[in-house]
Amino acid sequence: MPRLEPGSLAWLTLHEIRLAYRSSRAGAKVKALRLLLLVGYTAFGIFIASQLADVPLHPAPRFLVYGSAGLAILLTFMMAQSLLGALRTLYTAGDLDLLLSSPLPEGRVVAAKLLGIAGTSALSFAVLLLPVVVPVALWGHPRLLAVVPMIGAVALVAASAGIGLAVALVRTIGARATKSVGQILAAILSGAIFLASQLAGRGASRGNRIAAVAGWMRRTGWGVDGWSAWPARGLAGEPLPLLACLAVAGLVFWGTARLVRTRFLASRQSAGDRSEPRRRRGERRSAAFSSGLTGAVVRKEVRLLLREPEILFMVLMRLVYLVPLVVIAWKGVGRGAGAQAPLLAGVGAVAAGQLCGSLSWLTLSAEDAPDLLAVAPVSRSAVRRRKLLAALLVALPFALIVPALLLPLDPAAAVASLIGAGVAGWAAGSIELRFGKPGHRASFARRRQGSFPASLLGGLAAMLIGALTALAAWFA
Amino acid sequence: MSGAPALELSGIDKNFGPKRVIHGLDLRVGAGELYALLGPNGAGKTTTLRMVVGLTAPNRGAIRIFGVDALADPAAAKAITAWLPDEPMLYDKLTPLEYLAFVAGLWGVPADEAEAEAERLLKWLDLWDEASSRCETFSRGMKQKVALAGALIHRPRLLVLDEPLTGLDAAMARSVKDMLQEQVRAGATVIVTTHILEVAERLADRIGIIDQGRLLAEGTLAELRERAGSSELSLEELFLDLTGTHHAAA
Repeated sequence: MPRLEPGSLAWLTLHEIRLAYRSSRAGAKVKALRLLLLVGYTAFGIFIASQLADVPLHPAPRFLVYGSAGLAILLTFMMAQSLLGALRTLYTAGDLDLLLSSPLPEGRVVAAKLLGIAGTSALSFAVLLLPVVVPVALWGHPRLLAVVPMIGAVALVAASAGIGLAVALVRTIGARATKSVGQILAAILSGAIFLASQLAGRGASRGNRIAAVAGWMRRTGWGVDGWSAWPARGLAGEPLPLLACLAVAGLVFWGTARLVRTRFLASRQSAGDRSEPRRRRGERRSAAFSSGLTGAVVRKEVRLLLREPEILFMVLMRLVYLVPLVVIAWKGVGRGAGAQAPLLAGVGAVAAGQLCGSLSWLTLSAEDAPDLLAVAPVSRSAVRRRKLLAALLVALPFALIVPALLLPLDPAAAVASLIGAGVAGWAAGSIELRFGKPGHRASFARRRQGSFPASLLGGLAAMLIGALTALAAWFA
Repeated sequence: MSGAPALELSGIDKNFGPKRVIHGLDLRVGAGELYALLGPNGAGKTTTLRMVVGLTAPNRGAIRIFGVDALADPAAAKAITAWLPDEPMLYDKLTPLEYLAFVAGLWGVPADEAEAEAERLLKWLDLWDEASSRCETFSRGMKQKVALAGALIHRPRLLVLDEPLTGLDAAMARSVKDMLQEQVRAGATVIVTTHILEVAERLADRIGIIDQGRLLAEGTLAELRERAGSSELSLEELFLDLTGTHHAAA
């Protein structure tokens, strides 16, 4: 850590950022690979810079449209990250108790935590953007260096919104519900822009969707004219808008930090008190005891899945990318177009495969008490088969949606869709059974890093079965 | 198998990579005994217990539980054994009753029997009022109680506990100690590791002292004193002498 006065705000903030980056469990090989990727990405940035060296990048309407849209996307992503960061600070036993037990002023500790959330978020996106932006700026467009402070400004505003949202949630719906609702909100925020553009474009191709959004911005003037264009003008390096944006961001953050300081600590305390409402005297206590292994394992897994709505929601969010296909296919089915029912049947099978893959990872690989199962007098495979059954049972209602939609319109396609969904679900579960890698439920969002063969095979199998289902529905 | 010792370890070796952590360990615990396994940190106590309950395989040697070869027929050995580690094996999102229903299902306890036993255990552990609250809301001591109930629900013949008093308040620690004695009175065999030597001194029928993967001494407290040549020595002094850590404590 650079030499800063111990206990100062900067010292504490750097401590926060260092902790956030050391939380990654990547080994030396992964770190080396990341470094290599960064070098390659920077080389790509230098190539782009050489291509754009003579292209004028003035704040013309075109630049303002893309600049404003880019900043809006950045803001939603950073808000989601900040909300998750605030929830982590509120709910996990980190070092806040240690810091608050020190003689440092409470306000400084909380401000450092909030700055740490903003800084972590800013650095994550800086790594994504700056290897391209900085070479472009240095190669003939020096004003683009304004992107660096603008990332910081957006991070401060996003952190203020994310932290404010977390505190507001705790105060309105309580600490217990906030944990789940906050994660769901973060997932919605992450996908909000994508989903909005999909719905706005109504299933149009990517290029047409972008053109539709750009057209809307030009028509309404949002992000192109007046005050709403100032962030994009700041991004283009215009001094006054840039300074104004930085000042507003600083003010918003300072105000939020002052406003939520005491409330953040109160929220932290109520997050620690996770007591449930007391049950009325004499209320029936039931756990549905079962004599068989199947009943015991399936009940336990289903309960655990249903009691973590935020994880279940993330599972469903992974299917968002299929929405445009469903929209196109559904509209086609309504008009009686020939290829649309098979397309919908295929999409249904792919979705079922993805869903079962995620759920079976949760039941099979993300076991909270593996030692308990290991000391039980039952075979590992017997338990795992039943865990897979639980995952398939939870997926079943969702997997039935597409066949149910198709049934009144094209019964043969509905049957093909049902069979395809079943096969895709079974295949995804079997792949997890064979190649799954143990992990923690909380790491669900990073599962794709967990077992590469399982993810790759799962994706390929889902696509293959989806294609076969579509073909079967076509010929049925 | 009647007459067989509750636990018999013969010539157990265990390596972690190039490092040998258990060296030719022989250990015999009689049925109905409360046996305390003591040793300094890193002595191999937990590794030994994990091999007994089937969580770690030895590189060499044999493990018999009530005459059942635990390496050849692990399911039969596990069916009569319970394991309570220092960190409770729990599911935060389940209630104690749901947890016990799950554990009972794993051990194949008939539903009606399991339900009655769960109620008895939770009332005995003073958890009945919280039977329908999720474990995530519990203190460490309460979680340890739930795990203890889980260990007992299938009425094990051999109860293996690793530092069961860690993190418990005085009242809870007393309950656990009473429970251990009650289990022994009811005919079960208990093997326990603890850093609290007074507990071993007061409760254990026999004591084994292990260090660097080797059993240094074993017997009743009187036998250990006799070996040391002094009837005045406390278990703490015996332990420190045997493990050569006296200077560190001084």
